[in-house]
Amino acid sequence: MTSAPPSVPSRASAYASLRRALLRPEWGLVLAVAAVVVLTGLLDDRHNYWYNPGDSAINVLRQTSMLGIFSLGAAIVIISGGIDLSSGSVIAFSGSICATLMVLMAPEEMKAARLLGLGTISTAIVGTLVVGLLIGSLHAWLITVVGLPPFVATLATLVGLRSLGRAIVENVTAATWGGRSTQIQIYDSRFRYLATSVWIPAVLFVVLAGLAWLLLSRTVIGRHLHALGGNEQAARLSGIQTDRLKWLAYCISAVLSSIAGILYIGDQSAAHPQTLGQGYELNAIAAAVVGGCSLRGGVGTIPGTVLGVLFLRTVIDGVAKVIKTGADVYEGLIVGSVVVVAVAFTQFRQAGGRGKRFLSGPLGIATAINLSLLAGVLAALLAPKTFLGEGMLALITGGVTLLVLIVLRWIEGRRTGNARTAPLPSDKLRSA
Amino acid sequence: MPSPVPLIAFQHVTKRFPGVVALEDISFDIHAGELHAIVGENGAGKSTLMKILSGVITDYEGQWSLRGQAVRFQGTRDAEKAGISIIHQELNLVEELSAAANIFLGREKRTALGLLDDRAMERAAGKLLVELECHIHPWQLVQELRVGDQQLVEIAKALSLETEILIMDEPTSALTEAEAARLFRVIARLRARGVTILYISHKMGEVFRLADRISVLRDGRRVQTLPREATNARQITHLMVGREMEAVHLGNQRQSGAVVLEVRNLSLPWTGHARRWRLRDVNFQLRRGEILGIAGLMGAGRTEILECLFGANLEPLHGEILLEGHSVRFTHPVEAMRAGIVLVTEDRKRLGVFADMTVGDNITICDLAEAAVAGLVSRRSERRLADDMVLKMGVKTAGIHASITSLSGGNQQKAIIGRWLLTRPKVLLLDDPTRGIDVGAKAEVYRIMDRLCRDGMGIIVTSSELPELLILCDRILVLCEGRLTAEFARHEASEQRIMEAATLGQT
Amino acid sequence: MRTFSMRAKLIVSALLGLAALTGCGTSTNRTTNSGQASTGERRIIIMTNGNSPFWDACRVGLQEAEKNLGLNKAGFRAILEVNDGTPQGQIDKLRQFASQSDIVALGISPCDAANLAVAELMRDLKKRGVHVVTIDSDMDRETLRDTRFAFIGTDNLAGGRELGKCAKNLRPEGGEYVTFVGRTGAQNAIDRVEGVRQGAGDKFKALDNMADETDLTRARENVRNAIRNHPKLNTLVGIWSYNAPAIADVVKEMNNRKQFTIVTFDAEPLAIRQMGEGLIDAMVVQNPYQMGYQGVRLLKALVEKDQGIVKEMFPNLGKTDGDIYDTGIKVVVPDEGSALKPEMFDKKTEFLKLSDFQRWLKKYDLTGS
Repeated sequence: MTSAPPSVPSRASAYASLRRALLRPEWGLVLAVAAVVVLTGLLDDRHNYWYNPGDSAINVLRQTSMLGIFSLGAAIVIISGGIDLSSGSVIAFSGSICATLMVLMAPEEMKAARLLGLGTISTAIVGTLVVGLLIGSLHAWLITVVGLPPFVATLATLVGLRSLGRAIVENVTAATWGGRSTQIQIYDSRFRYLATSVWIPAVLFVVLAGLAWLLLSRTVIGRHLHALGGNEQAARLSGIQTDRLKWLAYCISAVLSSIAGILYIGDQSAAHPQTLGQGYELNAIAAAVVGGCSLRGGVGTIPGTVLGVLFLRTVIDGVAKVIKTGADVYEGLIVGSVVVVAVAFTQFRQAGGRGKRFLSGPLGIATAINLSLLAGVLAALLAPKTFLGEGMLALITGGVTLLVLIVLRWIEGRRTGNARTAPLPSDKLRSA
Repeated sequence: MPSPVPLIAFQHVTKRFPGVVALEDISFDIHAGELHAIVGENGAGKSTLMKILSGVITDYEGQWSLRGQAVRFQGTRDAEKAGISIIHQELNLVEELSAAANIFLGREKRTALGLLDDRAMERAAGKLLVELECHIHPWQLVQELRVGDQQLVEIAKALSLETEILIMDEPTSALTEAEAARLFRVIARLRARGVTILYISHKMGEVFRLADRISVLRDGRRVQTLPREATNARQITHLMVGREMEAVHLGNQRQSGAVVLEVRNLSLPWTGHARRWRLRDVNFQLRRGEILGIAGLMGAGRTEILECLFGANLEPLHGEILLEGHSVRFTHPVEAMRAGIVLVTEDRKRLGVFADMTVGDNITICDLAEAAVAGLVSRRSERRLADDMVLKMGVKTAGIHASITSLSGGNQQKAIIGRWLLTRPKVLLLDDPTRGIDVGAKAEVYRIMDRLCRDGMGIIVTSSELPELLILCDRILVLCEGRLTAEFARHEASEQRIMEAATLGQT
Repeated sequence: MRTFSMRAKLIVSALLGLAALTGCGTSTNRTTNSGQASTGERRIIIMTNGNSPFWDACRVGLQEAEKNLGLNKAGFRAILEVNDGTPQGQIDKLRQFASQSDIVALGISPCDAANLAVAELMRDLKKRGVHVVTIDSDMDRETLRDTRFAFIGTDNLAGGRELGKCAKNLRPEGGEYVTFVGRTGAQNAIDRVEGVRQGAGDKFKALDNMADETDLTRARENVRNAIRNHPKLNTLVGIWSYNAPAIADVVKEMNNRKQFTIVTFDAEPLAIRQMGEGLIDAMVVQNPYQMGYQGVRLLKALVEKDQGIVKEMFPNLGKTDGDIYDTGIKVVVPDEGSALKPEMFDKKTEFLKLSDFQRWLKKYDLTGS
């Protein structure tokens, strides 16, 4: 007969299912979040997490919920094999539409900062969600009918929607109030309550995440989305309507971004299409990727994405607590490094990077110089003023890093074997 | 047993693609309950015809009827509903999903709430796999399975449809002998149930074992349909090719010279896999002027050996490679090329040809420095090099400025061989070079190889066509699951013995 | 394959490395003195609306106050927190500050005078016992006065009027003007534009109020577009500090300096040089140095409950507009050839020629104001 099959415990055994549940990679993220919280608590010299956890928790919870809502959309699109670069602009546009609708329906109240009717608010919200559906449909049409790559289609809306939003806001305010304004202020406390109360965004996020999880892992459509992302041709040949699925995925993403847009303008008490949500799409994609989604498609989970969002926001809050003033300056640097480390690690786990040489050849030398310079600059920026002075400290750190990397390079070179440093495309196609 | 009522009747079915007529005026019948073999060379139109039957190709000329009714499918779903399912030659599985999920892809079982019923699907999948005598667990991810098991999953998928008409496209290409025997048992069971089977294969042994009738396609036309008893392999081959296959005599008066390449204890690890080694302790030598063949089933490691020699291996290899007596270690194909070892890869469409470039560019790409002065490429030199090589290889083309995709498969392959010959190698590695090439071009490639050998080159060639190896090679190595199990000289080798060595240890 | 723990370990160790690097230096980070006791140190923060050289002068004042008033000895640190120019940024920072217990006082220049989210967060801080004042730009004085204890800064309406008077006196026949500003919703912007209108008088017509959201490229684009779109335009008015160099650069580039009367707010180092080159006709200069200095002084006094200082700064506290501390304005004109004279302006306004102004700057070790 054929060679012995790999030994896998019987699925029926409860112990086996528990063991499989515990081995899931999401637990790594849970640990990572806990580690960040503990680290921040220790390194923060005021130990705010210890003495006053409530405020930080509320902050992180609010930010996680708002980012999380549209990160779910990003994850769904990525799992289906596409990409959505336009989330931030959809947030800006839908926020602007919501405010514009309110202005058009109740111009006096909006201007005079009086309360709007519940009817006005709900109509504006529904209208915004409809706009989300339309944007998602536009994406689907550009991608499945016109044939643009998803990158290009959503790049176009990334730039186009924000501009359209600005034009609409300026023109509507000029027409309704007589004075052109680049933003619309939101005063209605009930509308704002949607965002300022922490529990509404949080509950909304939990519900939406639950629905998304149900969709992806328990329904036929979710299974088909995974198949579409994993092998579009096989999906099509299995009778799956791939174009309809893509429509669904992009609509989900756009509607979730619209919901986020409504929340964000309530939170900021203003709809300012130029700056609202700028750059947010990258946070969403980063969260999805850190949470285990592969940009090739077909791989990813909702719990992973949720944890990815939580992890990112925890890191950002930790940075703010530890660096205190001027923390947002370093935020990008830290988040970028975290994403690189997390994703690289996932790739090693899948593709086996044990024989890999990281510092070989002329590129290795350039990398050694790169990393040493980076270390030196970081040392100069962040380290305390000692008797050495910043310049000296930078040189020392840079020098030490360079030495360490050169030693690593030498160690790598001595290992036997001659693995290439980059895989050929044939390796992906090989089936055995 | 087979009833004479035509189940499927083709009437003047024609399919044109831009630049080529894939099917021309196909008209014949398929009887209910029979196993009808469809044979033909690559490019004869077998796959195209099957794609029409299974709803993948929906626009074609002519018509065909199913059970006496004219049909026109709009997609694969229609074909499935009509009771036709197809087992593809290239696997169409989603690797990130489980076997059960793939088997039921597009037709998932649901619970009362409308959610996925994974338990039910796994149970049903388990039953199907047991019927196919496959020992995998239905929840295993496809990407973790061996190729043979993956193919069985594909077969299970077709079977799960409870079809009446089953199309099998080269189903045994990746199976071991034992797995093939298992498949034949399954086919017997299906036939007992009354399933009509369309069986595409080029292996005469299988065809004559299984088929009731045989239809031969050649260049898009149906040449003849014969009952099995009324014909034999030679006649069928003759019909496939259109002429008597000239017995190609090669290799006479070929003298082997000094050892040019030696491999000692070559081993290649396989991380994350149950078998742990793609190659284990492989030892052999290659002499100048000799053609060495490597035989073995798919997944045995033939391509891996060539990749190791070419510096294209992913994992670090163990063991030693000596080129002209000196130990060499390549970390990149460019180093192998400079040392004089070159590889013509399998699957030229994906790994060899630059589809957007011209014939001339494809030929000169590896040795552009030859035509360059101070870093700038001289167009005249480039043209001259390309023209020379086209002449030498006998590439039939409208010119070196023609697009490479306008060439037939055989001529493309000759162009790629020419590309590597420009680098003046000492050792030429060929991975399944005649796959997908018509018989005439095959013969030309054989002649090229013979000529190169007489000029002193050492050649290693792999192939899954045993007759081809027997024609070409001075010596044949046989691989089985990464190990070298046999080495035959020309006069010792036979198809039987090679197959035995290739399936050694698999009962 | 227990790779999940490996992954966690790698992430944790990477974070440890980064955090160690950042954590090492926090308590003694970037202060003028080294090593203060890390627990118990309280922070007084001044938050800007955006990033521009205007705030450099403020920072100098802040640091002087920190030194002169002995903040460190009393256990305080004064810090300038630079915002990115958006209300979002201020909202995020305010929320962060609310969750950090060592912040005791805040002076803020709000991006938008009527933004409710910022207002609510300011109120929330007040409820937590943090003392809040506004600096340089106020919250809406009719509806949101309760969000802060007091306002320290320029009387922007008066400043606008002086600028308008500059225009009127430089071009007695009147004309058409465009105002260029960062955000039209900032209170200081609203007041100054209105003041310019009042000060310039009936002979001047306001064509447009162009916003650039602190984007310097857009600031220049706005000037170019204004000049191209309005053929009868003859007066250019800069409202925020960086609008002055933007206007000057563009007229220099378009070679039409003589066509325009150019009056601007604030004196960035670049603008000072440009006035020296004759590109700017008059500047109304605020005193960000004092805003920083007095801001810190007031906030420290509030924390320490020093009623003496408070009463001295706000003698009319409780009466209308008694919660406003005017840091004063100067009108600066080129040394030679200016038609403007001190009598044309309000008594409280200081009138200086450029070289005198530069001497004043040197005295305080400033590069701009």
